[in-house]
Amino acid sequence: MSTSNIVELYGVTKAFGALTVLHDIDLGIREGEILTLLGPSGCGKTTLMRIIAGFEATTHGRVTIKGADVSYLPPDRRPVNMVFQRYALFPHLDVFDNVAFGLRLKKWSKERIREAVQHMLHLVQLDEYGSRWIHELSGGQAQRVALARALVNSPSVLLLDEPLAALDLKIRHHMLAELKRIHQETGTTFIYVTHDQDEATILSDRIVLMNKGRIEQIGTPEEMYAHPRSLFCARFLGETNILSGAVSATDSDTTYVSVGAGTAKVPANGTAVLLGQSVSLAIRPEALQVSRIGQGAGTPGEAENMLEGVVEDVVFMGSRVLYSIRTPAETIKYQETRSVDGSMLARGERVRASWRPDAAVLLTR
Amino acid sequence: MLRFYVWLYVAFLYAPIAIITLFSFHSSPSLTFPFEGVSLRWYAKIFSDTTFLNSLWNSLIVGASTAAITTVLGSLTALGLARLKGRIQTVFGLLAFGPVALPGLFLGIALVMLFSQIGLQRSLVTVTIAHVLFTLPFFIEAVRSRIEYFDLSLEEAARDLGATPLQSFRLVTLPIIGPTIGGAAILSFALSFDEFIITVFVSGNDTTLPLTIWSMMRRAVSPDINAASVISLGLSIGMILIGGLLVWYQRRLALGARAKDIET
Amino acid sequence: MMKISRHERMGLALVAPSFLFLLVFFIVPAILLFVCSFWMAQAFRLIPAFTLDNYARALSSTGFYFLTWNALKNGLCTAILTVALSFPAAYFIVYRTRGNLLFYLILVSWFSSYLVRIYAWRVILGSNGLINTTLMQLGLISEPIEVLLFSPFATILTLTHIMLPFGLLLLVSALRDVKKEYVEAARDLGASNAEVLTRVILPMCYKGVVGAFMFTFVISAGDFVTPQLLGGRDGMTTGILIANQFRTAGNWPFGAAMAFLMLVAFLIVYVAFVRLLDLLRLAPGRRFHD
Repeated sequence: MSTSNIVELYGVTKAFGALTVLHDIDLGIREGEILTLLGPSGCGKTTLMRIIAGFEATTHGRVTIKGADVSYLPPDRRPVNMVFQRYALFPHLDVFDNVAFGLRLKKWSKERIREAVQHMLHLVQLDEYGSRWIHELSGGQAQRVALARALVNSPSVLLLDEPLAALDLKIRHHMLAELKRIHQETGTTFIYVTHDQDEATILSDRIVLMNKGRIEQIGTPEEMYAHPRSLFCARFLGETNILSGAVSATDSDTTYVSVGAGTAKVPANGTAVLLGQSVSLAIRPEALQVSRIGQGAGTPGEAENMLEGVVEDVVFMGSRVLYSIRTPAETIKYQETRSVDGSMLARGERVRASWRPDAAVLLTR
Repeated sequence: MLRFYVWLYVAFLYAPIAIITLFSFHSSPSLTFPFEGVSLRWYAKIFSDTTFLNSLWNSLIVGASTAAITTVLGSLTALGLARLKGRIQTVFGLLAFGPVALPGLFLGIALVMLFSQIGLQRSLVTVTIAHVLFTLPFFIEAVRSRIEYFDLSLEEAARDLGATPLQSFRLVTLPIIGPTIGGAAILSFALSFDEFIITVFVSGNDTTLPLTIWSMMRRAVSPDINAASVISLGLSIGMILIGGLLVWYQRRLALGARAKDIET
Repeated sequence: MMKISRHERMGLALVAPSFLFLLVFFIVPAILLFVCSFWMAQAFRLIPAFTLDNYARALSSTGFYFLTWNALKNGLCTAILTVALSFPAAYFIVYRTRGNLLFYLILVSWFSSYLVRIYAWRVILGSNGLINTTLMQLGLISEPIEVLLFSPFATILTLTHIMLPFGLLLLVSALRDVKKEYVEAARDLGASNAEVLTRVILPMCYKGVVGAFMFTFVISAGDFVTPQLLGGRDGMTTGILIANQFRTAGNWPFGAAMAFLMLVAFLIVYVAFVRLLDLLRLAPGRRFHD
């Protein structure tokens, strides 16, 4: 693994009795990045984070932090701090004492503690809240206190366990921006766990997509969105159209897939395919070009990368409009930005949907 | 290490009663080792003692009556408390708890005072009243958290679907909180069966089982007390175990039914 | 005027029956008892008058103080032992086990009849009891250890044995409120097991610990059966005195006065205990900064 990794996981496997929750995970987390463990419930992301924190031991495998093997270290001895999902702020202490908790354990002097706590409260923009009691705080404020309490200990890695799950939508977006700002100001490595792909996309430098205890794909949000490597990845991040077909021909830089009544051209992406193999094409709704039949954006006669169908459903979503178009092959989704004059396709209209060859991704699994 | 301590703790709790149980089967009157042989003679002796049998019967009657009255009063109270909020709820909660916060001594003498002033003769009736007073807080506490947990909107949903208040209670509320109430009723029975301190003051000519055992104890250390104790012991613990098993079984049935519904 | 919703009115109607019951059989007798403490008794008859003689008599008798002190001693020792011994077991049950089997096992012993347990200890502790005869048979002692029975030791041992399950019950329910999350958060911030206990768990279950202590104290201080059967001559308590007034001696007003004086003593203990915990910085709600 790379030497700029601050946390490394080698062959981490975790089983609870007969149930294996993590299968042989290898992962390197780079210093200073925001890395998100993303996946549906039960995929193992929380378990993986708890293993890094020290609350679970691995059944097999090692964890190293800054090069040192911490697999057997208890949580109080690891240079890692965690922001808990429901904050776990101590109700018998006020905000100041909550934040100072870890520092007091390290036997810092009163002045040093005061300085550090005030600096941290300022960072999370809760300067005057030191004397408040926990039950007096709103959800967003409590979250920031939990963040401050963890960060004030200058951990090598900060773990965040679905910290925004309990907040209202508007506050959530605000907090995401706050987290990004705090990350920039402190430079601490963040490991973030969530099942919400929007959070992951907005916040992360890299995303680790997990499913059933295994890593499906690792990459930047951009990479994951534009170049998913499996059906699971394509479906998990954003909306996708999946067209099933079979390979009809290949040449050096293109693969031809028969889809429904027509053929689609897709740039070869290095995965070896056999003639006749069942494959899928993943196309983002906004990558389609849709026009009413009769007017043509594409050259007539080009029967490649094109489907004809009928508009079945129109959903107005404010800045966007989402259409469902029923074609002989599948029902596909098309999304366009709302046009200024408000014109939209109508239900029942016959349309032609086409896409550029490089707008589709060939998936074999 | 902690585990070892806990098992020591459990052993300490059960050792004395284990010893008594052991010696209740002792063939000789001695209460020390060596153990000479097994025999049921003390049980035979105690079962031929009419005082013992009468007091056993009395205890059962008082226990059943107490359980019945406490169940009615307690269930109503728990259902009511769930609907009250804030100050009123706290005040009532504290009041309901009062009889347990004081030693039995105080309750006993206060009731003696009352009964003599209103001219109520001491009898099994007064004993039952005292027992209801004593078991009510336990009943309410045992049922209250389950009832709070019970979502009132379930009842509202039933009403919305056309059920009368009584029907909604019978068809929705009761099945859900039923097992808890059953368990709490048995708890009341067991508590009443064992109750001694208050009973000492408010009982009349008819005695309960603990009172009989007590008078046996004050006379001399005689081996048939062992048998009497074990019988009393066995009945109380037996009742609690049966009650617990019932609640557990009912819960399993309910969970099993729900799981099956979800699967199909 | 406060608006009472329909819901609340239903609630009030539902609690009314038991409220009435408690009024008649708890509140009224308590008031009656208090009033009675100012009356006089003559040849087994109550004379309603107003006099402070009963209180004066109790407060001027050294015997009364001695007996009350015994009662308080019983209560305090039992409460301390019960809470101290039950806390590790409660901790184990809440944080180290899954499922409730162990918990129920301990609770069931609570139903092993109050009297039977007293009797059992009397059998075990006596000069001819199990411990002494076994030790003599093994040749470890030549004379029976007299002080095992009819002593404060026997009383406190038995009372503790009786109260342990109840204390455990209260402590377990208090500890269950301190969810695992808080323990994990404390460990994450660098606390050792001992630090987690003193800085997080104890302050958070403070109310439960105080409750368990006070309950145990009140019940064992007021207990008159155990000291009577096991306490010996030096182990007499005020409780015995009060019980006797109402069962044999017949001076009810005097008994009532003593009972209320005991309640005052309990209250003093409660206030002192809470103050002590506060001084030891174990109470929540403190600020450790300026």
